[in-house]
Amino acid sequence: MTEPVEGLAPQPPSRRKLLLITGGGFLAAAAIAVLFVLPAEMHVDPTGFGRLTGLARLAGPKTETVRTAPSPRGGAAPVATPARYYPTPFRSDVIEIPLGSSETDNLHSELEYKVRMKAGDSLVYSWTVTGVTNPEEFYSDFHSETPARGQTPAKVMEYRQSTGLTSNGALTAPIEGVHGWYLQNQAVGAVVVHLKLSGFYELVPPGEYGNLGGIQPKAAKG
Amino acid sequence: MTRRMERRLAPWLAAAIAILLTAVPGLALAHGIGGKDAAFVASSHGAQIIPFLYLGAKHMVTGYDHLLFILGVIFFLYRLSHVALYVTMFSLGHSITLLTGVLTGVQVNPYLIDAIIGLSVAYKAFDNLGGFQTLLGVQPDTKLAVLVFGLFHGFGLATKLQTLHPSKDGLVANMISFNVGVELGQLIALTVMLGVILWWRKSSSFARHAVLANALILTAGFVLMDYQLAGFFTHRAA
Repeated sequence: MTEPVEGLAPQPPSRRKLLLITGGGFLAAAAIAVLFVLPAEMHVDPTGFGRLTGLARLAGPKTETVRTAPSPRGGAAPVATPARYYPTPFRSDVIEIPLGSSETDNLHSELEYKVRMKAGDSLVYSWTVTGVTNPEEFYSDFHSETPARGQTPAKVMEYRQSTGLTSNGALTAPIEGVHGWYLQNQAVGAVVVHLKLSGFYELVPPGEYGNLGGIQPKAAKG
Repeated sequence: MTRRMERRLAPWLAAAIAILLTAVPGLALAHGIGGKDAAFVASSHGAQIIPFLYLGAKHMVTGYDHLLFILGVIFFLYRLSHVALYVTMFSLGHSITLLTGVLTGVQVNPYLIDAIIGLSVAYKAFDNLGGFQTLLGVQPDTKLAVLVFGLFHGFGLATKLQTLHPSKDGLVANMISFNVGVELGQLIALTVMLGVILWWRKSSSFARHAVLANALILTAGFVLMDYQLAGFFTHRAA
């Protein structure tokens, strides 16, 4: 034995035992990862053990993040077909979304509001927030998503995550699904988001996916 | 509690704590920076000293990979001065890479970094059992190893913070706050772990179960490594 190093076992195990511990630990780790951790955390299930035991359900539906080309700053985004025609009826809506105080009503200070669109459908939108003056205190996340269906993974497309009290723009839905905003009030007082929408889309009935906050349109012209 | 009961309970308590650290789902989720915390980092502008201090401390206290490594480091350190020295090496390592990583914007694949962090846990347990001396006949410098792995732990943190796109406004103050928070969290975790291990060492079962405990830490390190490697390969293929 050489002189002991501080921080190491004063009586280290024998060579044989050490090989057993290291090899056994390595193999046990591989088995735990493949049988339990990967199915439950990542939906990776090479042995089928995750599906058999229901562990794979813990990983939830598979989500795919779909990349979108960001529109160039200041200029209009390139459009493949400038003129398009829609079977979906045209509509316009004015929607008011109240959000509670981030301090006294945290539960109601955030929600998701989205509308249903088929791939290729377009809308234009404009929203402003009232009740807050500091643009740093209002956060929004503009995105599209398709819920998972059976073995098909959910798809999520992210457009813009930012703070600010107003946003104007347009969207041509790249995928069928729900499209809209996660809105989060970070101010002390309650606020209202005034959203105007026009185009080819359908409102999500209150309480259904995309409008779990139960928001009703203020004025609808079908 | 009688001495005898204490002696019988100690290994079970230590095992229960180890299982809690690795098995509580909330802790597993908290390994990254998720949910509301992520939204906060992405949306905050300007210096936010206390919130970032808290986030740093929270990341450390709930980060089982960092905790397992620290547990491995202090497992056989009997003198408080040694504990202080080794923990300082670790802090020095992860502070360097956390600050330079975020401030210079260097990006490394987070799965690979986390796989190395998992490997660091297994390495330390193997080293603790005298593995290098017994199997290879060499003893790598233990302090240097802690410093080098500390660099990787800090890089992991920097990479995760960067994916959240923290605002340039007040970045330096926020990252220093986060780093100080990490050290505070580490101090809290260290105090708890030292308390348990000092108590456990007093019982006769410590010598018998110390090898087993390190074998379990080694296995946990490899599980973390495998998990992150799987993440690396599936996300590269996608």
